[in-house]
Amino acid sequence: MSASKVKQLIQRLEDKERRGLAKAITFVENQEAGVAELMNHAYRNMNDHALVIGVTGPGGAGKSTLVDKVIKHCRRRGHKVGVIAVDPSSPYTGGAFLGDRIRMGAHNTDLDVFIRSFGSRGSMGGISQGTKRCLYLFKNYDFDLIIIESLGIGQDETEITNFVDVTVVTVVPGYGDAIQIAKAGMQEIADIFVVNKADKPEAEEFYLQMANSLHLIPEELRPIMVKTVATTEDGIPELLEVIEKVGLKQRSKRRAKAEIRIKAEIETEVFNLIRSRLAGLIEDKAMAAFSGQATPFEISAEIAGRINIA
Amino acid sequence: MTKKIRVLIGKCGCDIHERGALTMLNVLRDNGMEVIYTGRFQSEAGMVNAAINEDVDVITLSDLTGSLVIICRKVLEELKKRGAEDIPVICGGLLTKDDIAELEKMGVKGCFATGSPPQGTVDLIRQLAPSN
Ligand SMILES: Nc1nc2c(ncn2[C@@H]2O[C@H](COP(=O)(O)OP(=O)(O)OP(=O)(O)O)[C@@H](O)[C@H]2O)c(=O)[nH]1
Ligand SMILES: [Mg+2]
Repeated sequence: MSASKVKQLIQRLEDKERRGLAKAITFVENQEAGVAELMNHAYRNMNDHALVIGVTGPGGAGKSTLVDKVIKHCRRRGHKVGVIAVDPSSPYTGGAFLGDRIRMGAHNTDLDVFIRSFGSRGSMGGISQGTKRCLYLFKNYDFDLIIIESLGIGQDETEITNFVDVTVVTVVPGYGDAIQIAKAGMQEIADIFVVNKADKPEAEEFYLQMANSLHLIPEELRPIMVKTVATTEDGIPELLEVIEKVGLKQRSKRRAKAEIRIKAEIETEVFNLIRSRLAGLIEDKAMAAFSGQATPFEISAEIAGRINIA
Repeated sequence: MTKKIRVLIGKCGCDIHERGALTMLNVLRDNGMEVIYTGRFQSEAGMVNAAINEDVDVITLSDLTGSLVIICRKVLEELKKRGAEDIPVICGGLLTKDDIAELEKMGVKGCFATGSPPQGTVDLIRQLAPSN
């Protein structure tokens, strides 16, 4: 049953059928039996065509509105666009309100725009393992541009930079000052720094503050700043120009990024596997510590000792 | 395997009322579902394209202008056009008895008039979502 389901999905990916992509994403996200076969196929057959952009930043900064306008301008040039839009899942119920599409409603009828919403599904940072895998599925299609919108700042977001060519960090006046931005590590991951909501009166001062603090970074590493008003499309043509320029430069770093990414991916996969294999044993042994037969440290050492690496 | 139920909540046409959709959004999320909201003023074709790309288990249409019969008919037509008539459609909002009879006849899987307890919708969605 599931073996034929995988074969079917692989066929649909090969036919570049859009609903097949939608089904394959669900299959990967739900970790259905046979997902390894599907992913192996998707990885071997992905193409290098699309420019991949990550858009990240704090909640409500205007990321979705910005993505909506970027899509609009790219469609004018005839580019096909895929979007991965991540919103947080509730840690309590696992449910999620996926609302990024609301800002992108103008493209609902456009068959050359494929927007898919993802819940963060229990991942530590902004984006789940399943979502990252789905990027490989997107790369089996003929998108010219793939955009990943994820909520967040710092931590896990540093990892997403290795999955994309260009990282756009979106900030807004009122979020905090340069110190907050620096603490969150945002300028370390940004290739492009968008100050959105430039229509706000305090935007100019915020922009100058940002520019000042970015000046401490050596010029060749310094993110490029762009001022935008996503709602009115002010600054969007400029942003696209910068994306194109940075994209050209970043594409040459693809090999180096892939090396870091592949290592991180293997590490995550292996640790997940070990974690699921050992879960039962840890549960059992924990009782021994609980009843005072051994200390947690003795038990940890004993379990770790069982992993034999030749 | 960790199956999650995915639901699209959509509003077609010129209805400004959003309370019903937003209420259901919260209820479904609190019941562990992933709920995708299209926002207001969408077209039926756009709704169906979104539902296909999001691979939802159920489409839920909300409307308080008395247009659900028209909206649902168009959505079902669009689904057929795209070969996606396997996605079940349910609706909620301003509904007369006649509306409900007509909607059920055309193949809408559930109708919830204003004032229906939300749990009914939750249960129906669980029932309609394919288990694998
Ligand atoms: N004044 C002003 N408002 C904006 C601008 N860009 C976006 N907004 C508004 O900001 C709000 C949030 O916009 P979104 O695009 O949903 O922001 P987001 O960063 O995607 O939000 P999350 O995905 O929830 O983190 C909306 O009400 C937008 O209309 C802007 O340039 N100026
Ligand atoms: Mg958003």
